[in-house]
This record gives sequence, C-alpha cells and structure tokens, in this order.
Amino acid sequence: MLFPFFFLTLSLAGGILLSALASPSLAIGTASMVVCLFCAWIFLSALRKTRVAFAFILLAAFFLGSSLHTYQNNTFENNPLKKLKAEDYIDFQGRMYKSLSRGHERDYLFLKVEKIISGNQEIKIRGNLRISVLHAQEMQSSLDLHTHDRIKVSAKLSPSQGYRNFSPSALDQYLKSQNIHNRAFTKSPMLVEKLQSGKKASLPRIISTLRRKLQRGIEHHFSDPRNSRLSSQGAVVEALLLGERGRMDPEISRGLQDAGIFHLFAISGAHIAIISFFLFSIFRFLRLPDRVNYILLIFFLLLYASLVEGRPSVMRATIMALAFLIGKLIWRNVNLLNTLAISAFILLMLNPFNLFSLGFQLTFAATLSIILFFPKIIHYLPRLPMRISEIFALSLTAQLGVLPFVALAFNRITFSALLLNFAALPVVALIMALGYIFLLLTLMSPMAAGILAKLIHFLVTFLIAISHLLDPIPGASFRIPTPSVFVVLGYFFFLGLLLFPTRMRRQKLFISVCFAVFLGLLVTYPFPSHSKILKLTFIDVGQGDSILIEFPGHKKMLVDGGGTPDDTFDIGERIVSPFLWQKGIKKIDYLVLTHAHPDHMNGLKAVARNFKVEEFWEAFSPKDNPSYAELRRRLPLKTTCRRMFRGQVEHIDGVKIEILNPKQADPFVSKILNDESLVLRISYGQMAFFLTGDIGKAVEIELLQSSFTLQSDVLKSPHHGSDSSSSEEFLSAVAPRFLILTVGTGNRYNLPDPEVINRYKEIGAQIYRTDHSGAVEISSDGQKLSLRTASQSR
Amino acid sequence: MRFPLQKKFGSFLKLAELVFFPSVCKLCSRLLEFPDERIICRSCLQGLKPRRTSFCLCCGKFFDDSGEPHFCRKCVLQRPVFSVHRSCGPYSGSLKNTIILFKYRGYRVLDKALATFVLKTLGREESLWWGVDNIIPVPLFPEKQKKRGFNQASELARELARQKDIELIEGQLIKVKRTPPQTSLEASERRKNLKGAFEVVHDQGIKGKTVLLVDDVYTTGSTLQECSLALIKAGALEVRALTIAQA
Repeated sequence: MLFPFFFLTLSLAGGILLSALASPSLAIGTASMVVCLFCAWIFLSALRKTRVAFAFILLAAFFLGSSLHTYQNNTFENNPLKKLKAEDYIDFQGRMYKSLSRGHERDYLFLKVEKIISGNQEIKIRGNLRISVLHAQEMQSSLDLHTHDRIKVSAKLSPSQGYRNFSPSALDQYLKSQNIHNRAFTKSPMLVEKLQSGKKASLPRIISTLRRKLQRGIEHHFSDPRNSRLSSQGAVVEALLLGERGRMDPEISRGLQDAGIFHLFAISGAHIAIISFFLFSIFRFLRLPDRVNYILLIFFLLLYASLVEGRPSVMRATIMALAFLIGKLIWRNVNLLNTLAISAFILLMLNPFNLFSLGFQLTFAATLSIILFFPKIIHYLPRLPMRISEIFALSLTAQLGVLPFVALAFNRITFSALLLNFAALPVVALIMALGYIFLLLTLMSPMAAGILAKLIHFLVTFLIAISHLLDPIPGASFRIPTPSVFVVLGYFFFLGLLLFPTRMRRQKLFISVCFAVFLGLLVTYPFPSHSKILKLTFIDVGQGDSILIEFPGHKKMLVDGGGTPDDTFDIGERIVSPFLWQKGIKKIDYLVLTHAHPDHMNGLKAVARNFKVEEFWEAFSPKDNPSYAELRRRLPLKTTCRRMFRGQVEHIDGVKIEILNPKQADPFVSKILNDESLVLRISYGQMAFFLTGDIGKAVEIELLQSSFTLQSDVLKSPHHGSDSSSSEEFLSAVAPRFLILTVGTGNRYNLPDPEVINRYKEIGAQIYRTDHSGAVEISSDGQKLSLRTASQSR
Repeated sequence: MRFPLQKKFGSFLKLAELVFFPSVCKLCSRLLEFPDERIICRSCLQGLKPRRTSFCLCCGKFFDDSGEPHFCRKCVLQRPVFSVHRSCGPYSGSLKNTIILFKYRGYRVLDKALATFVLKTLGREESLWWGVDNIIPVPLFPEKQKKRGFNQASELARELARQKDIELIEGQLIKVKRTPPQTSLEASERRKNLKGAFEVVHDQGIKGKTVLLVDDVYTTGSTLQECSLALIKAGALEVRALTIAQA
C-alpha cells in the first residue's frame, strides 16, 4: 500500500467528526482505542495477519480522534476564563503567546492569562484571551510587544454571544479552532502595561522580534504619504510575505475574493515552493552538494514557517515539503497523497478543532483534489507552451475541491480564477521573490530596499488591477445562497466515483452526468424559497434595524439592513447577507429603507450588491450623503425605485401593507430626520404588524389623530426604545401583544430607556429584545401568531 | 506480505519509515518491504545477471559461445596497454537499468549494491586482484562532474576499495579535455576523441605500482586504453581494469 496514512487520517478525522456530533464519553473512547491497539498487536505479532491488524489500527485511530476531540472539547468548554463573566474593566495579567496582530483601527493581543485582578481581588485563572486594543486617535499603534512578554492589560470582556441569528456564529467557531477561550476589548494602548520582557534567547521571541523588524521595514518603505500610515499596497505586501492580513484594505480584499485569487494570500504551497526554489537556486549557485542543500532547506523552511506563525495552510505546506525533503535524503519514494495525509494527521493531533477551521478545510480540499485529479485532467489537455495547460489544470483541480467549501462559507462561486490565475500567479511569484530580497535588504541596506520597494509597489498595483479584469463579465463571479448538505455530499460522492476506473462506458457516462447535475445544483442554487405563512424576522444586527418579511408565497421584503456608523464592521456583508443566504434567498422583491441613517442603511449597501432587488422603497433622499449615494449606485440597474408616502397601500400575496408615514413632500432633503421614517402596517388575516422605523412622539400623535387603524398584534418599538418615542397614548392605541426591541448589547446610547420598558410592561405586552434573545422570528397564518427566538433554539 | 512481520520490521523507526515513506522498486514496482532496501528491491538485485559465456583472457571481451577462455584475435595481434580487464556481465536487462538509475538518475545509494554485485562475480578473480596496490576510478571532466553531482566510477571504486581494503587514489588521474560522450560515437572515432584526454598530475602511488582502473561500462575499451596510457607514462608498473558491464 502506497498511502497507508491516507486511511489513518480519514479514520482519525471520522472519529473527530463523530465526537463533535455525538459527544461520546471519554473513558469509552480511550478504552476502545487501547483494546483496538491490543488486538492489532495480537494479530500482527501472534497471528501474522497484517490486513486485520491494519484494520484494527484504523479503528484505533478512529477512537483516538474521538477521544482527543472529546478531551479537548471538555477542557475548552470548561475553561474558567471562558466561563468568566464580568461587566466592567478588569486587569488581565499573563504572557503573550503569539506576536500581536495589527489591524486597521485595532491590534489584537494574544494572551496566555495567568491571573486577573479586579478591585483588590486577585484570582488565578488560566486560558487564552484575545484582546483587541483600539488605536489611539490619529496615531499609528504604539504597542511594541513581542512573544513571551509578560503584560498587564485593563480590558473588558466582550459580550460572549455575538450576533445570534439561528445559526452558529462563525466567530465562535473560529475562536474555538484557535483555542481562544474568550475575547476582551480595551479602548486604548495606554491600558496595556509591559511588566517584564521575555527571555531574549528563546526562539519564539527571536522570531517575534525579527518579524516585527521586517514589519517595520515594510511600514517604512510603504507608507501612505497622506497620513504616514501603511499604504494599501504595503498591506498587500505584508499579507503576501508575512501572512498578516489584518491591515488589508477591505475593498481590495473583496476585489481579490471576487476574482477568486485571494487564495494566493493564504501562505501555502505556492509560497513554500517559491521560497524553496529561491533558496535551492542560491545553494546550487554556491555549489553546495544536493544533500547539503536538502538539509539547509529543511532548516530554512522551519524558520520560515515559524516566522509566519503557522496557519493550517502554511503548516500543511511545510510538513509536506519537509516530508518530501526527508524522503529524498533517505532515498525513499515520496507519495504525495501519503505526505498530505501525514500533514493532516499531525495538524489534527495538535489540535482536533482544526478539522472545523475553514483554512484547514480549504487547503486540504484544494491539495487533495490537485493530487487526485491533476494527472487525469492534464491527460486531456493539449500540450501548450509556457506551462499553460499545467496552470489551467492546477486552477481547475483546486477549484473542484474548494468549490463547495467556498460556497458554504462565503456563498461565492468564482470562475474567473481559472483565467485570472494565468496573470496573477506570475505577478504574485515575482512580488514574493522580490519581496524576500526586499526584506533581506531592509535589514542591511535601506537605500537599496527603497528602490526595490518602488518596483514592488508598482507590481502590487498591477495585481490589484488584474483582479478587476473580469468584473464586467456576468457569471464570472457571483453569490449564491448556502447550498444544502445533501448537494455538497452528492457532489463529493460523484466526484470521488469519477476517480475509480469503470468497466463499462455507460457507467462512466452515468457518473459524469450525476456529477454534472450536482455541480449544476451547487453553482446555480435553483431551489425556490417558498413559505406558506407570513414570517417576520427581526434580525440581530446589534444596534440597528433589519427586518425580513417572508410573504406566504415567494415574495421577500427586507426593511432596513442595520449598520455601523463608520462601517468598521460590515453588518450587511457579515450578518444580514449570510442570514438571507442561509434562508435560501437569492432575490429581494422589496428592499425598504425607512430612513437614511447609518444603523438602518449601511447594511443595505452589501445587500444591494449581493442580491437581486426588484423594487426599492424609500421616502426621502438625503443630498450629499456618500453612504446613501453608494447604496443607490450599488442597486442593480433593473431595480424599480419607488417613493412611498402616507396613504399608499400595497397588496402582496394576500398581505396588505399600508404606508402610514411620512407625508408627501419634496423627496430631496439635506438632512434626514427620524420623524421622516417610513412606517408600515402589515396586516394578514386577523393579524397586524406595526413597523415604526425611528419615529418620535410628534408622528405618534399625528397618527393618533389620523383615520388609520393603528391596533396591531406586534409592534416594533419606535426608535429602539428611546424615551422620545413610545408615548402612552400611542401604545394604548396600538395595544400590541408583542413588543420587539431592536437594540445592541452595551450600545452607546444606553437604549432602551428603562422608563419606556416600564410603559411597555404597563400595557401588558410581552417584550422581546434582540440584545437578550438574539433574532426574533414571528410567523402567522393569519389566525394565530407563533414566536421563536435565536437564544431559545440554541 | 509473505514474510513474518517481526523479522520485517526490525525496529519502530524502520516501521515508521515504511509508513511514512512507502516506496516501490524502481525496476519491478514491488513494494519495498525490507528496511534496508533502497530504490531497487532485493530480488531484483539478486536477479542481476553475471557473465555466462567465455571471454578473452586479456581484454575481457565476451565471446558469443561458451567454452574455455582464450585470447581474442585483437589481443593476439596487439596487446592493449592494460594487462587485464574483466567485466561482470553484459550491459543489458536489469543490470543495464540499474546502471542507468545509478548513473543518470543520481541514485548514489546504489553504489553499495553494485559493489556487492561486482565482488560476488569477480571477487575471486585472482588475475585481477592479486598484488593490486591501488584502485583508481576513471575520472570525469570536472565540469561534467559538477553537473552530475558525482562520479559514478569513483563512487563504485570507493566502495570496492573499502570492501577489499585497498587504497583508493582520487584526483591524480584527471580528465583535461572536454570530449563529446563516447556513447554518441562510432568505434573508430572513439579513440580519436579521447586522444590525450587524460593526464596524471601527481605520480605518488602510481609510479612503480600495480593499479586497478574502475569504470562503469566497457564498450570498445578506448577509455580504459587512454587512461592506462596516461598511467603507464606516469610510471605505473601494471594497469588492470574492472568494469561492471560490457556492451
């Protein structure tokens, strides 16, 4: 057998998966493993049945995986730091276990906590903490810390739940895969105090110092002349060379993701290959014997891997490269599949949570698919000069493997990579080759480095331009709803079957057709999103509004999209769009903007970009508002824009929608007021829902005096429960049974007002808050209401 | 997997080697099960064919028929510069493939296996070994050796010298002319091609000694002839020659 490890790794991964799904007991798992190993030994040594013994070893690997995961999971979930609850700022003391990661407006510290100090109390507590440190205003980060430094940070624990919208949070999963037990936040670098430097001679510290030095070199040579910060090109260079993507311009990142060439930024095989080639050429030039070369390469690769502080992709590539070199050294064959499996095995043993980390999945899916399918596909391609066929086959096979993962995690289908790789690969290779020389030069001759930096700057600009080459072509890259697990399994099943030789032509044809069908299902998502009843979901977008209305039938309406004032966190892209995709929605029939304030509007920008929009409803348009202009620009051309004012009525799938506010006037205004919010009353059968936007008392009184029916079963609290709204008269006129408050945890306006909550209680309404219970979903068949929240369904 | 497993996996490390780097024989594609096997499996090495036919007592040329060894016509007319030459087997089949793997694919580990094969077939040939003072490999042009990374003849010679406990002399006989590869030439051109290609830079250990020249393949004997000439010129008492295979 040429790849025994492949089966061992599959078995280990299977065990980990089982443990994650079924959480079996640790004792049984370990005992079974020992029994299996014992059986294997008996069969091996006494009965001499190798195959049976191997089967038992496989079984042992399975139990090993399951007990390893169970053990890790238990320690992780029961970690005292994870369970720690504290409202206020407390002092965390501990050692940095990783270099700090720099971002746009914040840095991340990774702290191995030793104790916490709150007030006069000192509590010993252990665990890994990620602390985000907000930069001081208008200043580059002044934090200069290295791995193993002992520090004390005054920080506040971040609210643990994140955004809860009926699906596990991606952030939680990410933190778990990184073995980070909790997150904290501090508002200034001044609150970080260095107690003691780490030992100068320790390897992680040397690497951390070197890394910082190189980072400074990049910062120095790639600074933006306007504000002396790292330029966007510099951030790209940093990402390519050091694997630090925190400072990349989100716009550029999205361009690269759409173009499908973002994978080049994950330090992986390509990087290792380029470095190895580079070093090997140097050693050859120095006339070192090949075997000495291999040993030196092994050393430098290890150094490099530790310098970029291993993500799964770089670990995978390094382990594979090392196995390859060692194989060469001891004159053994190197089976790629076996080597790949070895690296997966090691990574899973080190941290079984890796199996669920996206980076791990992507890198192994891509490499496995290349190893298995490359020889088959290259066979069908014509021989072209410049390795065109090879590059195409590489892109294609990698794509085959990662397509479902990218669709599941990013809701993105990209075909442009197949073409763009031709242009991007050589450019990236060149940037990296020059980049490493540049890094060396920064340490020796800043002048020469400066000249090289200009050239690299130009190449990076060129790379960014390449990523937009195919933007005008529709279908080169698009977004789709989250595919179902069955489609993904079917896809992989038939893709796997394609590998096996078949006896008859018809069999082959049948398998190919099946695969094509599943591929089609995966990339087009042809399933309609149908609903029998009326469903309103108040999405948890933190501080802000976003309400999805699913009409009985196919139509969907989205009222507002949440948003942060400065767009630091793209709610629309990260929260609202994924929620809609999770529901299988491709098209928004009615996109409603109640009023152009950031917490209602900013999230819609991403929605407008990611979905088909039939109609766009609004009342007033602000003049000279860049955010609003961006939203209008991003709406698809076919979208009908309608202005809605008081008195208009729409009937959608048997649901009546009345517009109660604002009064008709000149739609172009210089400043948008809360009182100009669109107010919708939605009635279906005997049930009515009242969506109020951010209206205040004045409008409430106006509505009371009008002839509209106000009585409703569900009321969205006006203006997030501010005391300038929700007057007693209004509340008693609406007389809601359910009150939904859309507020963010710990928001800076201290909403909702306790006084308002009292008023709600007085009218006897049941109160649901998105900060307490996450998203709230209310469904109705016209007769009855039913309600569920994200926190319950957990 | 026919062999008892305890024998097969001597130690844990060897087992690891099998699991981490499962390899197949480059000749027969069978899994290499023994920990000491490299590149070529045991049975393929055991299957290397030594000479079976008769040969010339002097130049070692194989005859087509079997029978008593005797002098060939060429040697009767004119003796070569070297006094005696022997090769182990015909340059064909798995011996040829092994030499190709060794020489052109850079599998230097095969030196031991080949040396063992040489000693198995020619180790008792007293006309070759009796009274030999030094072993000298046929040199490569320095640039070519850089390119290939090693000299197949000296790898083999080193291994033979170690196993026979005879002194190895390297770097005294050198190739000074870059010549097109012998394999690309006709028999008559081969002599001309190599004329004056070899020189002895330092005659210590050569002068007044009996030396054994070692090369991988013998075709017309031109290379050995030229080397021997250079060695005799430098004062060698007697030059004998040994090659693995003969074309």
